[in-house]
Amino acid sequence: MTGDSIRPVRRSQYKRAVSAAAILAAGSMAVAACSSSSPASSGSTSGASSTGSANVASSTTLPSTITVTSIQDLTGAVGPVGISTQDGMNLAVKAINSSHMLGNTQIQITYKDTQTTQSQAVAEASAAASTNVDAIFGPVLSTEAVAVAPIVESAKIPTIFTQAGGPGVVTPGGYVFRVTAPQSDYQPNLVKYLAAHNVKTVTMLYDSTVPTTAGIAQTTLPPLFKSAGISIKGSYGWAEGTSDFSSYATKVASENPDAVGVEGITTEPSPVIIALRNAGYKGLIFGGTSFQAFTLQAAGQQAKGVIWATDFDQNSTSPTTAAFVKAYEAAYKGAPLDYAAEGYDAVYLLAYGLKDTTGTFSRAALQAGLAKAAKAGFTGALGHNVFVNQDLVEPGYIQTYTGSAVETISGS
Amino acid sequence: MGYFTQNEVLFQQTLVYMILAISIQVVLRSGVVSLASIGFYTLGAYAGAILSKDGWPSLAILVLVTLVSGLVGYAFGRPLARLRGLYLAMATLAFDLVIPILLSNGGSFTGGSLGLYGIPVSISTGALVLIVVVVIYVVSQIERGWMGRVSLALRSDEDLARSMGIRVSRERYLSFAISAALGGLAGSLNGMLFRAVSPSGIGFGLITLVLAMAIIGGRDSWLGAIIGAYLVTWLPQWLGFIGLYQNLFFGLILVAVMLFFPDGLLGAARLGVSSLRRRQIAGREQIPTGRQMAT
Amino acid sequence: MIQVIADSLALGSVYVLFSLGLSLSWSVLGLLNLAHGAQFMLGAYFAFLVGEHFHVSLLIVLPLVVVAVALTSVIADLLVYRRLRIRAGTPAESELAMLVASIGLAAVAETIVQNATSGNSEFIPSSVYGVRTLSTGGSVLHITNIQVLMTIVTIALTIAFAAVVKWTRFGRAMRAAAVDPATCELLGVNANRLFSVTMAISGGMAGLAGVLLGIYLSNVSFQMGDPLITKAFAVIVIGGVGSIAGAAIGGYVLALAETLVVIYGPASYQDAISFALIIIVLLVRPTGLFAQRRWQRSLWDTSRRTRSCSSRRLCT
Repeated sequence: MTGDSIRPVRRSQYKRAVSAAAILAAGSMAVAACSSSSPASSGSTSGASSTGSANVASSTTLPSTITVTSIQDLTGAVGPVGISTQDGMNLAVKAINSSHMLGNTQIQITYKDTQTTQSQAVAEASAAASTNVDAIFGPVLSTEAVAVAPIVESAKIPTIFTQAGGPGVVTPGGYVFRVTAPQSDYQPNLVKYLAAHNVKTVTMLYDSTVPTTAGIAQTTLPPLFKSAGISIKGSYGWAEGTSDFSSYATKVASENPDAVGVEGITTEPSPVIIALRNAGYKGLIFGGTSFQAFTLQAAGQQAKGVIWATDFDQNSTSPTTAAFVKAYEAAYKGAPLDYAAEGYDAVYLLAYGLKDTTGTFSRAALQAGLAKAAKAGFTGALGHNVFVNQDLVEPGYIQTYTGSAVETISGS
Repeated sequence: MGYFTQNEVLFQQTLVYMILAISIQVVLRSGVVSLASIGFYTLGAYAGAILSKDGWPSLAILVLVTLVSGLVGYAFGRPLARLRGLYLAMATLAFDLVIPILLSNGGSFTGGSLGLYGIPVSISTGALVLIVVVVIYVVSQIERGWMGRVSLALRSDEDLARSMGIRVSRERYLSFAISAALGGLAGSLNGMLFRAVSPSGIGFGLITLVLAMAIIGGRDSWLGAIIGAYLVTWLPQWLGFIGLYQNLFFGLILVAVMLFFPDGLLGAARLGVSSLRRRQIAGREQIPTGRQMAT
Repeated sequence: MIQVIADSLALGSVYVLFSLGLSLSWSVLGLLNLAHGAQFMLGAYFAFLVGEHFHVSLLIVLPLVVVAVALTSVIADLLVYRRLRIRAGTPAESELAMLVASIGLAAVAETIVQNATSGNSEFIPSSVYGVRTLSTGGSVLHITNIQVLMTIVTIALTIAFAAVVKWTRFGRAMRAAAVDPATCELLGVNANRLFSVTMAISGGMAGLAGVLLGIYLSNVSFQMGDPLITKAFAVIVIGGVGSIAGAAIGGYVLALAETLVVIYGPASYQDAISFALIIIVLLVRPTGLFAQRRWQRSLWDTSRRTRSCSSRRLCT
């Protein structure tokens, strides 16, 4: 620290500093303009390019390439979910493009990463809406979706969400569609199953900082339990980042309800299950979103017999589902998660919507096409998809874990 | 102007972060390691959201939130002023981190973990630029004025400053107040920009981001905070190819800045300018100037 | 109730180990090490890596991992922290510089592990290190052998460390260097080397806490250290910086308070406890509940400008 900085900065030095900053800013904006005119920060662009052959196919006037921006949470806390969705989408695009489902038209997806940040999601959505892309696939996180939805609605660009189970995301007649049934759809079957298996008391453990899990535990399940005659002994929320569940487990074990519900995201369930079993709890454990083989494998045998409700049954014998699972395993060497199935069906909804688009192609025309396709429904990886008010409805499946594999107990 | 509309949200975000970075820089400059303005940022965002849903217009919200934050900051400044260095850093860090937990448990008033969305008021980019310019003007006047010099004195040698009659405590309260006011302002602006506020996204990550902005640019002046905010917000865009290794790169920059440019980029630039001039003068006169000896 | 105590002992042991390490680097070097959590996580991660590829007993893995993490501390000190201390003009500047640098280092470590694990949590199955339940008292008490190990190791280490600080030459040198490194140098103590050794111990403690917790929870994730830092703050603030007994008691008290909140109170405020404690104690009784005047880092102490000249033998 020299004498320099104690003296008040002289006018000329001041001006110099400001102009230096201005030049710096202008220069870097120029650099940014050059570098950001190229697509995608992370993720891959899909298969086919737009080396358009002359597009005079059928009665539709679809452009030779349909460009879509897919805004996903590829890094950050829900990165695994976003990546799974991306995988499903890529698989669908490859299938659609190579089978020429849309004639000579190809779908091209560009991926943008939200880094699981609300502001980044909004930035990407605004940017996409102001370019020429034909449609947007939206992020999975509810907090991001509720911020993005108003933007895409006012920009009038067709948007398809997966997951994103928050309220206020889908407006009937608007530009937003959702290919994941809200939790309130498939929890009733789960509750029925519990009631049928003599569960009279229940305790809920859930991640209170994530809207989806908090919503299920605080809003969706209690009325269902009430009408099924199941009483709630306790309901305890943990904050994201908690790793030691022994105190929760002790409390629950001492209450000893007939069943314990564990609502967490990504890999949260296993430590909870392990803690519960270690504390001596022997009753039924059920869960929801994020209960699948790869999150339960850590608990291994201790997770044997847990059940959950899901919108995707990978053991289904329905041809479309089986074909999807097979294709996924061949491409990615692992079993698909429900996020991948949802991503897959989201792209197919777009494809069916494109097929149903009439007149000169525009975003508004695409919206009408999508609405039509949604109303008609289609069969995809998730099964037979029925939409009400542009939102997927689905009674869901109940699955269980054998300690090493997933089995489906019941479903539609 | 396609480029601007395409990246408008990012520009707006940069402007808000500039205010937030300045709020940290203002206290760091006098050697007070207070991160409390981020807590006021969170509270300001929520206050703005709640008020707007009650029908308040945007200007009134901004003025009210800024003033109240400033007053609360001043009030907090009194007990916190007793704490030194790392203790203060820790206390303000704890303050910043406890707020999202409280908000998350606030039921329908705060929207719980989902937060509040569908905020009815908004702010235009032009208005945002105007506000940032006003903030810069106010802060620069303070910096160039007597209080600015006092802050630097406080940072180098508090006892000496005290012995020269500078009322150390009062200067601290004022810094706190300004820092809090700016934090609250930035928060309410952010809420109006994104039309949604939520407790997620407020955590260690944001705190280190803002601290980095103030440090990388240079904590001696508001200009440093501006530069830092701009760089830190736009770096991920320019270096998109880094993708998943962004945080690592960012961490390395922080370490490098502390090691090689402790006064930030602005400080390095100043050093460069002054050493250039020194060489000019030395070349002309062949006599070492007093400044040379002092450094 | 006895189960509550058992759980708190295990959790508290982790808090105590972790906080001791943090308190050490803080009181001796003036480094508020925000990378401490990342080092903790590295301890757990190394244990996971070793367990995945080799079949080694815990008794061998523990010291290995501890040494590995201690080494990261030493490297960080040699490459970064030492230079920052030398360059700084005032103690306050040195503190801020090291604080910011530690943030950067934490980001580096966490991103590397994040990419190595693809952001997922990794699991250490109980079979790897032989974790099993020792049931005493039937259904009343469930404890695992790792919990017992944690408690014993922590208490033993804490007592040993207190003994070293109080009675050995090294301990005295450490306490002296914390107060006045320049004079130390004049008396023949190499302050820089002392600081590096202190960092090694601090890092080793973080790593040890990490291994133990990682195995206890069977769960390792790249962010697992972050929430612990604020809890360590709470422990240190309650106990007073530099006070070993304070950290020990504070750690168990905090763990007990958190466990009780989950069991008897609104569970989602579990984390809020540590924050609230920090704020309240700092406002009401800033020196901590167990303030010791000897090598206690004084809040009003502004005369430690000599810390910055620890590399030159003669200081002005």
